[in-house]
Parts: sequence; C-alpha cells; structure tokens
Amino acid sequence: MTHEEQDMLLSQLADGELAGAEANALLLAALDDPELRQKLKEMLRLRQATAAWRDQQPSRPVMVLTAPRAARRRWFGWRLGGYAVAACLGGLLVIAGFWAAGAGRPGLVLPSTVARVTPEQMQQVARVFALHESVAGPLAWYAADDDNIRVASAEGSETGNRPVAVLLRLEPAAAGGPGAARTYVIVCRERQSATIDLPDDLPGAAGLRVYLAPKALDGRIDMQYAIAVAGQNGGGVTATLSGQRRVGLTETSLGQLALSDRLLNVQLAAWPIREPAN
Amino acid sequence: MNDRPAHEIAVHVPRMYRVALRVVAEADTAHDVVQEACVRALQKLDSFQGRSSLATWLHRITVNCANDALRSDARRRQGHGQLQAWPVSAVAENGPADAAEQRELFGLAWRALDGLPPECRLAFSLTQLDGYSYDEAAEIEGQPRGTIASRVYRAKKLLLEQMGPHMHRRAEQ
Repeated sequence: MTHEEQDMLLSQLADGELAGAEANALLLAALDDPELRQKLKEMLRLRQATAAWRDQQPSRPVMVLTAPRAARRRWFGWRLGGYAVAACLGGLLVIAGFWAAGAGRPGLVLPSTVARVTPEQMQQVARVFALHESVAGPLAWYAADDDNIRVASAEGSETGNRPVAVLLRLEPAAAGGPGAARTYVIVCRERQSATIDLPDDLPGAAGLRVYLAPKALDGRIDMQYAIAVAGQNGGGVTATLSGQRRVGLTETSLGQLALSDRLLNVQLAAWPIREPAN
Repeated sequence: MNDRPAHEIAVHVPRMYRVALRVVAEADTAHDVVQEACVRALQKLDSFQGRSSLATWLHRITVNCANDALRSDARRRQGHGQLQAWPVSAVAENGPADAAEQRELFGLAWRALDGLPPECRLAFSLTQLDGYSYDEAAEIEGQPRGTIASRVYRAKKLLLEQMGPHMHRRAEQ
C-alpha cells in the first residue's frame, strides 16, 4: 500500500466511513507509527472543526404541509368523515344534554367576535372536550366549526400532555367583503404538533390546513403555526401563513392570507385547559 | 389522514437547511429556501419515482431553490465565501478554549475552500458540511464512492497544507 492510499484510508477513518476490520487494522498501525498518528490527529481535528456546522438546525421552525392536491382530496373525504363523527358523537351528546342552545348542533356556541376569551367560554370548551374524550377515548386533537366536528385519537405519549384550547378566526379584511367570518375551536396537546384539515367554505378556496405546535409558558401559549389555503380546481396552495407567536386569551393577529380577490385577517387566542378538579 | 410524506420530508429538513445556508450564506434566506423546497417537494411528490433516494431528490430540489434565491437577488455574491457567522449552537464539549480553537480552524478551512478545485470543494462540502455519507454524496454526484473518497481526501490534504502552520502551532502547545 502506498502512502497516498494509506492517507486516503485515514481520511475515511476520520469520517467514520471505513468498515470495522479495516478501521481496526489502521488504528493499530497508527498506534505504532508516530507519523501516521499525527496525520490521523490532523484529519480528526479537521473533522471536529466542521462538527458544529453539521449539527446546525434551522433558526425558525420549517412547516412541512401536505401537497395541495392531496390536501384537497383529503378534505373531501374528511368532510364526510367529519359528518360521520359529528353524527355519532352528536347523538351521544344530545342524550347527555349538550345541545348548544338554538344552534341545532352538539358542542359549542362559537362566538362571531372575540376580543378576549371569557372564563365561561374557557369552561365550555373544557367541558365539551372532556365529554368528547369520555365518548371517544383520549384525543390527540379536536376541531369544530359551526357545522362539523373532527377528532383524532391520541397515540401513547400524547395522552399525558396537557390539552391546549385554540380559537382561530378568519374574517374578510374589508368590512362587508365577500364571505363570512369563520371561527374554529381546536383543542390539541401541548408539545405535540397537530396537522388538521379544517372543513371550509371560504369562497374561492377548496380547503384549509392548519399546523399547530403549542407549548404552555407562564399561563400563555408559545405557538408555532402554519395555515395553508388550497385553491379550487386543483389550483395548489393559494396562500400560506406561518410563524411562531406567544398568545393568550386576547385575540392576537397572526397576519393576513391573500386569496385571489381579497384578504383574510387571521386571529388566534389560546390557553391551557386546566385538569378538572376531583 | 395520511401525513407520512410530510413527516418523511420533515426528517431531512435540518440537512436541507445546511445545504441552503451553505449556498445562500444567510440564515433567513436559507430558511425561506427550505420552506419553498418543502412545498415544491410535496407538489412534485407524485413524480418522485424512487430511482434515487429521497435524500438525494430533496438535495436537488433544495439546491435548485437556493440557486433561484441567489438569482432573485443579483446583489448577492456567490455562496460560502461571504459567510461569516459561526453556528450559534456551536459549543465545544471541552470548554471555551476548545470552542475558540474549533472556531478558528473552521474559519481557516472555510476561507480556504474557495481555493479548492470545484469537484473537491463539492465533495468536501457534501460530506463535511452538509452531513451526507460517502454513498449519498456519490449518488448526488453520480460518481462511484471511491471517486468521492478520493476527492474528499484531496480536499482535506489541500486544506491541511494551507492550514499547516496553524495546525503545527496548536500541536506544539
């Protein structure tokens, strides 16, 4: 073996790219040969000098949202599924006496405007979520609008994480603009990300996908979020909004979604749901 | 709901970020590049035939997005030569002195990279900076593994020659 060939093997050894037996033989040789040992040391120092670069992570979270076409397909199937879940749970909730007054649907009275979430609304969300869990078992998340309820079962580790309630509101930026404001109540789990396709009837939009990753901090919620609106006719994602914000009971503006002919204000409030007292 | 493709892509995000940062030399732009690359990857997922690995496919998309970002800002000069920022997360295990030495060595290597033959620079960047294995780098480059190993070695040899006085000084301390 020439010196050049041996040095090339040293380079691979320093990078962890040499197979076991070959690596052992070379290490043994290096132990007995000061010159070889010095070369290996230099290779390792060079490798070590770039380790911090290799460990780098994005400075902000990157949201990976499912492809628009797939999202659209899912949304369709999902809506039917949503109705099915709502119908099943709805029947049980009626028995339990949890019809929202005058709304003809189970669960919550969704406020049209919320400057600040009231204690009564917090209590109502907690009760409805607890009721759904008592029917369907532990939930990873729960999402509802005026017409639909959607839930996902928790898997293992999620069940121990505290539930976090989220009030998400989308409304036309221009007063009297096309389309009505939409309010969604979502309950997800602290320190667990949830990707939720929300049933949506925004004019010109086929689907709404929401990513939430909450973390409770001093009574407020440190929320990573991404919201994507898919266009109709397979038009792909028409608008996205993503970022990280600390939010509380007062609605916080996350920014605006630009659809084809209008802007939507996106606002969000969130709070940790307290465990029921025994 | 099947979010598996999104999860599979998310696993590669840190490496995509390093690739983007190496090309565009700015953290915010690199973040935007990765976000755009994820959107493109998901949109083109149907066209991914599995002839290459997902890592290789995502690498190509990331590089294309990064080059688009560079083209969109004509004022920005090419790549890594401009990068001054040492990774924020860089904390050496053996304390501040070790961290300072690593930082100094990295700075020397970073500046010397510009002087390497292009094929050696790329092989070094893929394996030492982006974190690809030799096999993955070989797939990205479309070269045999042995060629990558040879190029990486040549790059290291040239870098160590340039950094030699510094390395020897440190060794004597």
